[in-house]
Amino acid sequence: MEKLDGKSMDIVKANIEALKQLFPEVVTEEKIDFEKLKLILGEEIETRNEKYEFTWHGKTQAMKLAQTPSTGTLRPDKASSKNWATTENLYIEGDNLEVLKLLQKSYFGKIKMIYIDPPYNTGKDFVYKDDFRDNIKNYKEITQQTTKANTETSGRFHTDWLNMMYPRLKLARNLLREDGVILISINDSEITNLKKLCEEIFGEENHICDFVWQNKKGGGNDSKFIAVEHEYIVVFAKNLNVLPPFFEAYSEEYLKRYKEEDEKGKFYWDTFKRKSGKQYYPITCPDGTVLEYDEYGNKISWLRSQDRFYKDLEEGEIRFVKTENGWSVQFKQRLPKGKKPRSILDDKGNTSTGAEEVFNLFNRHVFSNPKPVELIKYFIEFLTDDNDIILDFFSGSATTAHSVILSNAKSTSRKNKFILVQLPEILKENDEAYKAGYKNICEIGKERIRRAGEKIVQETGKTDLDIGFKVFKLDSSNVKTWDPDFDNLEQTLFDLQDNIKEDRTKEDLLYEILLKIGLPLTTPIEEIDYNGKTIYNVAYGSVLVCLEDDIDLDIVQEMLKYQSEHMPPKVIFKESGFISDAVKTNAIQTLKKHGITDVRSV
Amino acid sequence: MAGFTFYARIGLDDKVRPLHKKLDKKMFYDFADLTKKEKDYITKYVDRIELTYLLTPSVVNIQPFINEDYHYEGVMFITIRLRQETKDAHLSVIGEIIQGALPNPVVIVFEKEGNIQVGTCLKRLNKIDKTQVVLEEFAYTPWFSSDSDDEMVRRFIDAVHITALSFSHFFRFYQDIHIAVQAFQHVKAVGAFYIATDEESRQLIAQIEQAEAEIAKWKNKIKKETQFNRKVEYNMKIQQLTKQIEQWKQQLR
Repeated sequence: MEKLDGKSMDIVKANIEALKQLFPEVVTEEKIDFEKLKLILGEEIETRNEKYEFTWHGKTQAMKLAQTPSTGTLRPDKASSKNWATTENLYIEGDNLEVLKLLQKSYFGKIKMIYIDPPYNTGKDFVYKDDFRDNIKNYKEITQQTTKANTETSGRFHTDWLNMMYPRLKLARNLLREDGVILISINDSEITNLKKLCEEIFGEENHICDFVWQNKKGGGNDSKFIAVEHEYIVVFAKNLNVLPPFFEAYSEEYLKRYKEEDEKGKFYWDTFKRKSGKQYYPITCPDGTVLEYDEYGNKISWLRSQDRFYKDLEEGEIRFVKTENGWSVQFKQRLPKGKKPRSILDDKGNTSTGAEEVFNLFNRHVFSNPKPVELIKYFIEFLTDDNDIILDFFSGSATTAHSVILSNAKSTSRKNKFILVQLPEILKENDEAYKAGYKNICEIGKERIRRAGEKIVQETGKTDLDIGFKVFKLDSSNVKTWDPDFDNLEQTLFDLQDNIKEDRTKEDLLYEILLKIGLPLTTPIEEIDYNGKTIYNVAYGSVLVCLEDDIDLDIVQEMLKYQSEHMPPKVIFKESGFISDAVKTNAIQTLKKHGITDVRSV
Repeated sequence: MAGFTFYARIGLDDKVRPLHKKLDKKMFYDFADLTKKEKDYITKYVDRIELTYLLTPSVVNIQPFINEDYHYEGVMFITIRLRQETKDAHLSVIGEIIQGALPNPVVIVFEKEGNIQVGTCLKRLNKIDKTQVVLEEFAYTPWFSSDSDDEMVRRFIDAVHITALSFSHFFRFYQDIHIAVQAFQHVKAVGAFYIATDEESRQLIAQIEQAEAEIAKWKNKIKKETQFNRKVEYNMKIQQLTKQIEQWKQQLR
C-alpha cells in the first residue's frame, strides 16, 4: 500500500518529464545532461555575458520558490460557506503563492480566464514577503499582525514587488488552459516592469494588448503636472495560436435591424447607392431603366465595383425595388461575425462606480478603490464560453465573483464558476470596515459575495443561479511530518503511530487527499454511513475513501458496492486505521480480486 | 428480395403497381456534382439502384404540397442493393448522395445480406437557387429483417403502413414516414418505440441521442487515458449525462 506524500505537485519533476518527452536522450537516470542538451540545440545558445535580460536581486530565488512544493493544505470551512453542498464556486483564504501551489495538480490547465488586481506598488500598498524556509509558518505569522506597506524609500522598492509577482505569475500560467487568457490591472508605477515580467513568463508573442481603462472622470486639479485618468489592463494569452478570435456580443437593439434570413445567415436590405465613392457605372433595372445619373446630372456612385455587382446579382444578393422616386437598388447587408473589442475602455465604470457598488451592498465604505463590476463582466463576456472557470488570486473586495454571478444571470446559457483567493489581511482599527465588525479583508469579500448574490437573484428573479461558494483556508498539512530531534525521538516515534494531527477532522484530511491526487475541490462527494463509520464516495465511484479507525473487511466489501463501472477506482484508507495487519493484507487481496490495484494510505 | 417483402408488408403492393426501373449509376455521376470520394462509394459499395415505386397524384389519391419552401409533388421509393463489404458508416454518405441528387422526397430502402434499413430525409428548396434543395434532416432505421416478428419491427411496420399514413397531402404523408423512421432510429437511445409528433418530444429525443453519443465518446476516452484525474473527470461526465438522460426519458413518458 503506497503512502500519499504530504506535498503539492512537484514542478521540477514535471519539467524534467516534459524535457524527457521532447528529448529522451538528454535525461539520464532522472538527471539532465547539459552537454547533450547543448548539442541538440545547435548554435542557438547564448554564451555571452551581456545578453538581453530583465533581472533584479532575488530573481533566481523567486524562480526556485515557485518550484518548491507546498507542504500546506486547504481546510474546508463550512461555517462561512454558502450553499456548501451544491455550489461549484470557491473562496480560498490564504497566501496566494501557497494556494496556487496547492491548486497545481487539481486545476492544471483548467482555467480559462485569470483576472488579477495586484498591489500597484504605489508606496502605500502592501507587498507580501515570502519566506523560503517555511512559508506556511511565515504566512501564519504575517496574518497575525497588521501589515506594513512597501515604501518608496525602501532600497528594494521594485525588487520586492517583482519578487512577489514573479513566482505567482509563473504558477498561474500552469493553471491556464491552452486557450486561456490572463488580465492584470496595473497603473503607471509598475506597468513597464509588469510587461517585462509577463513577456518572460508568457512569451512576448503571446501579448494581446494593454487595455487603457478610464478610471476617473473629472477632478484631479490637485495633481502637480497631469491629472492621470487611466489605468491599464495587461492581457496575455497562454498560447495565441490556439486562441479563437474575440467578438463582443451585439446588443438586442443592434440585432433588430437584421430582420431577414437566408441560407447564409441574417441580413437586411440596404441601399446600394452611396453618397461618396468612385465606383461609377450604369445599372439596368428590370424594366430597362438605366441608372447612371441622379436628378442633378451627377454620376451615381455605387457601393461596390461593377464586377462585384454582377457577381452579387447572380448570387441573389441584389434586388430592385420600385419606389415613388423610381427604382432603388438594394443589397443584402449581412450581419458580421461580431463586434471587435476596443482597447480604450471609457464606458466600463470607474473607481467611483466600483465604490458605489460596494457601498450599496454594505451602506458604508468598507473597501477603498474596488474595481467596478461592469469592467470585469465585460472581459468575461467576450473571453469565456458557457462553463469556464475564472480565477482571481488577488480578489480584494471580490468584484470578480460579483461579475461572474452577474454575467451568468444576464445570460441564458452561461454557467461560469469562480475561484477567488485572498490573503486575510488584518484591518486597521481606524478602518471603516473594522468599525463595522469585519476583522480582515476575507470577511468583507465573503460578505460581499453573499449580498451581491442575493441582490442579483432578487433583481433578475432567477433562482437557478449558483450564488454560493465553498470556503477553504490555507493551513499546514493535516499529516504530521517526520521531524525527529534528539530530545523527543521517542515521543515522535510514538506519535507517528497515529500520523494525523489531533485538531484535524476527517473532512480536513479528505480535502487534502483530493488536492494531492489532483481532483478539483468541488468534486461531488457522497457520504455513506455504514454502521456508524463514514465512507466517502468521491466523483461517482472514482475514489473510495475511508478514514476511520477499526477498519474491518465488512467495510471494504461495502466500499466495493460503490465503484464506478467505467473505471477502476482508487481506494484510500488511513494508514493506522486497520484493526490488524492481517485485515490490511486481506483487504488488499479482496480489492485485487475486484480488479482494484490502486490502493493508498495516508 | 428483402425489400419487396417490406413493401408488401406495409401494404404498398396492394395500392400501386411497382415500376422496378433500374437507375444507372452513371446518371448520378453525370447529373449530381459528386466528389471523387462520393463516386468511389457508389462504384465500390452499391450493387444496384432501382426506382421501385413512384407515388404521384395520378396513381394515388394524395395532393401535392407546394409553397415557396417545399415542393412535394410525389414520393419516390428507391431500393438500393449494397455489396457485402459496405460498412454502416458508408450508408449515410450514400444516402446523402442519392437524396441530394433528387429534388423530390425519397424513401430509400437499403438491402444487404437479407436485411434492410430505411432512410428518409426532409428537404426544402434553396432560397437563392430554387433548382437546388437543402437537406434538412436525415433519419435511418437500424438494420432489420423485413419478415421479422420482433416487436419493434412490428411497431415500425404498423406505423408506416400505407393505411396508417396521412393522405391529406404529400408533405404530411412523407412526414409520417420520416417520424416513424426516427422513432425506430431512437429505440436504442430512448428504450421504446416512441412516435414524436410534437416539437418538445422531438427535441427531447434529439437531446437524448446527443447525450448518448457523448457518453460513447467519453467511454472511449476513459479507456485511453492514463492520467488518473482525467479519468475521474470523464467518469463524472458519463455519470452526469446518464442521470440527465434518465430525467429526459421520464419526461417522455
